[in-house]
Parts: sequence; C-alpha cells; structure tokens
Amino acid sequence: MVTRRAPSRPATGLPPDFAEWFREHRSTVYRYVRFRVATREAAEDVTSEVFMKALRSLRRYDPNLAAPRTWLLRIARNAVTDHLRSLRRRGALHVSLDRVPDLVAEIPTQEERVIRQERIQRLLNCNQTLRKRDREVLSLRYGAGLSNGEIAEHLNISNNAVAVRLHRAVKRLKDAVQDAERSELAGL
Amino acid sequence: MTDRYQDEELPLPPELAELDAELSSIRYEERPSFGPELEAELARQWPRIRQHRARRAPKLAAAAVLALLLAAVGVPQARASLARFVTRLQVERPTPHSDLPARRSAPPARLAASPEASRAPRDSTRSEDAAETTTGAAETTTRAGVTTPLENSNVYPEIVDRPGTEVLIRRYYPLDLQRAGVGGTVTLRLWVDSTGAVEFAKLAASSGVPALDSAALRAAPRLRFQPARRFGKPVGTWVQFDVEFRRHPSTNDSTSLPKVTPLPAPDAPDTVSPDLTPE
Repeated sequence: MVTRRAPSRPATGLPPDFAEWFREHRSTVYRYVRFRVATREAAEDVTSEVFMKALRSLRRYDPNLAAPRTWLLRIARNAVTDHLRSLRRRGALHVSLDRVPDLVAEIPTQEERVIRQERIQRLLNCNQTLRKRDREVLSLRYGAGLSNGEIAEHLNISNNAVAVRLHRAVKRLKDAVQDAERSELAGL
Repeated sequence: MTDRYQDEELPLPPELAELDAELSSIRYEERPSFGPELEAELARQWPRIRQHRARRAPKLAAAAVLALLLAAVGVPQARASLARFVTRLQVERPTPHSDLPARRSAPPARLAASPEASRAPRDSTRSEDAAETTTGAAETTTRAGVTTPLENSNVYPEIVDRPGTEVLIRRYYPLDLQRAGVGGTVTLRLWVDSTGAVEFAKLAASSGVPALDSAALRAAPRLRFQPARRFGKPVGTWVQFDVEFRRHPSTNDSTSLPKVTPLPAPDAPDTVSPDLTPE
C-alpha cells in the first residue's frame, strides 16, 4: 500500500516539526532565558535568537542525540552566554529594580509588590555571582521549570547528581543573598 | 509544567525550603503578542534560509575543489603525483613530432639529473640519441648549456655550476672523516622544482657512514640545477643524484660530482617504478 507523507510545509510557513517544537517549547526556553537575563526585552531578543539559530541549523539536528527541548535549551544556554558576555564588556550585568515587574505579577498591593521586586532583584543579582554550574542548574529548575529527571536528561547526569548539585546551588545562593543583605545593612 | 512544590524528586532540607519556594514563585509574564510575532518572523525568514543554503552548496563544493588543488600545488609529494598525472595525460596526446617517440614516452619521474642517466640503454631510437652524450660529464654539461630544447622534447636537470657545487660539497665533507680518509658515495633523491631549486631531498642509498649521509642531505638544499623542461616549459621533477666523497683524491678535490646511477628505463611498467613517497 502506498502511503503519502504529510505536506512538508504547513500553513505557518515553517517546517512542520519545527513549528510544533516552537509551540511546545517556546515558553520553556523563554523562562529559562528570562531567569538569567536582566530584562524582559533582553529575554525576548535572546529567545528570538535561539529559535532563529535553531531554524538555521535544523538540518544538523539529530533526534538520536538529543530531544528537541534539550537541543533548544543548549542553544539557549549558548545564546545567554553570548548575551551576558556582551553585557559584561559594557559592565551592565546587574538587574535594576525597575526591570523586574514582569516577574511579580500576582502581588495585590503596591507596597508588597515593591518588597517582592527588591527581593527578586537581589536573588537574580546573587544568581549572577554563582559558578556557571550552579547558575545552569538553578536556571533549568526555577527558570525552565524542569523536574530533576528532566534536568538529569538534559545534563546527561543521574537524578541523584542533579539533587546534590541543586541542593548545593540553592545553599550557595542562600549564602550569597545573606552576604548581600549583611553588606547592605553594614552600608546603612 | 511539573508542579515544583509537590515534586518529590527535590529533597531540599527545611532551611532551604523557603528559598526554594521563593524561587519557584517567580512568575514569568511573556508579552501576549511575543509568541505570534516571533512565529511570524521565523516563517518570514525560513524561505531566505532555504535559499541561502541552496546557494551555498555549489560555493562550498568549488571551495573544496580549490582547496584540494592548492594543497596539491603546495605539498611537494602531492605536486609530484599531480605532475605525473598531468604528464601522463600529455604523453598520451598525439603530437606532430612523431619522429621522437622515445622522448615523448619518458615519464618525468624518471628523468635523470646527470648525463649518465641519459646514457642508459633504453631502446634503439634512444640509443642513437644517447650516443651523442657518452663522452663524459664535462662534455654533457656543455651540451646542456648550449642545447635549445626541442618543442616536444624533455630536457633533464643539470647542475648549474659544477666547480662551485664541488666546492660546496667539499665544505660539507666532515673534516675528521677527511683526515681519517673515510669516503663514500651517498645517493640522494631530489625534487628539483621548476626554478631549479631543490625543494625536497631524501636518502635513496646510504654510503654506510651516517655522517656522510647527513652531510649530503644538509648540502642538498643548496644545490642549483637548470630545471627540467617538458614541451619547452620548466617543470619540477624527481632526480637521483650521487654525491661521492672521495677517500683518496687524486687531485686537490676531495669530492666528485656527480656519479649517477641510471634510473629505471622509462618504458618499464609502473609496478617497478621507484617509490617516490618521502619516508
């Protein structure tokens, strides 16, 4: 029996597989990127760059080597690294207070909202001071929202190793936040 | 998305649970129009990307061929193979000078550096030709200096300045060996390029004295030849070249140039041709 394949180009104009991956994983990629960059605009730029790079290198993608989400997140990691490197050259790595409103959408009162913004600002700034390995696991967990098993698949390590790495990263982040708070108090 | 608050895979201790909850509570508000805008932009770019790929493929193929050709010209061994191949193509082409069959059929890899190579008996046609050059090195050198190459003939590499070359070789003759009266003949295989310079040298046969072999190899890059000519054009070729360090010189000279061992006949089958691959 002769079977016909689906048309190679859907209505959107994108390759069918890619269009599906885009709809399925765009949010994950955006959140991963947003956790690591300072502003919503930067996150949108980097996310656009990620999907553009993925589209350009679509022919090189090998489904036997990595799942689409893993592949996209790897591209995202490199794109974020490039973005941060360019910011570092300009000395503009830190997150300012007026740039995080998109991260605290569900706070009812203005006062609580400001406190929450300050807290998130401090968390993200402290996250930038961590080691690359810690930043990566925190971004995958709290940015992209992956489970330990999914992180293990992405990093190609065991679940236990992810748990250990995550535990240490959160602890280092907590220490960094406490140090930052102490410095602020001492400054006052 | 997995529920991070209920995730049993994350056994964080209680002192970290508060920070975990705080990090998990961060909300990421995407602009509602961001997704559709990005999808439209990607769809707009996709045809360009495909066209760019289609245009790039022939360019890449051309670049690869060019790189191979450059490599073939730049690497002596590859150039030798290429020269052999091109010469074989030219040899198979019919020429108007049908009265010179032996010259046309001589592969360049077997051209000899010295007159004695041309004295080697090859075939009947060649032997008449060779008879003109059987009178010794000095005579042949003169002949090389005055002969105008025929359009379709081969001209073999000749040492440019024979006395100067002898002085050069003598300079490389180790003094202690000279005093001890140790001599010998070193056979070199040289790639003489189209300018007459020695670009590549290797030992074809040892004299049995490593110091003499080494001296001959060190002297080789400084040798200068009249380049070989094929169809009137200078070409690079391999030549075999003997350097004799005389043990008991009859004159003041301690060296003799050249003593040539003839290369295999040009019409010998390829299977017995010397291996020109450098060691």
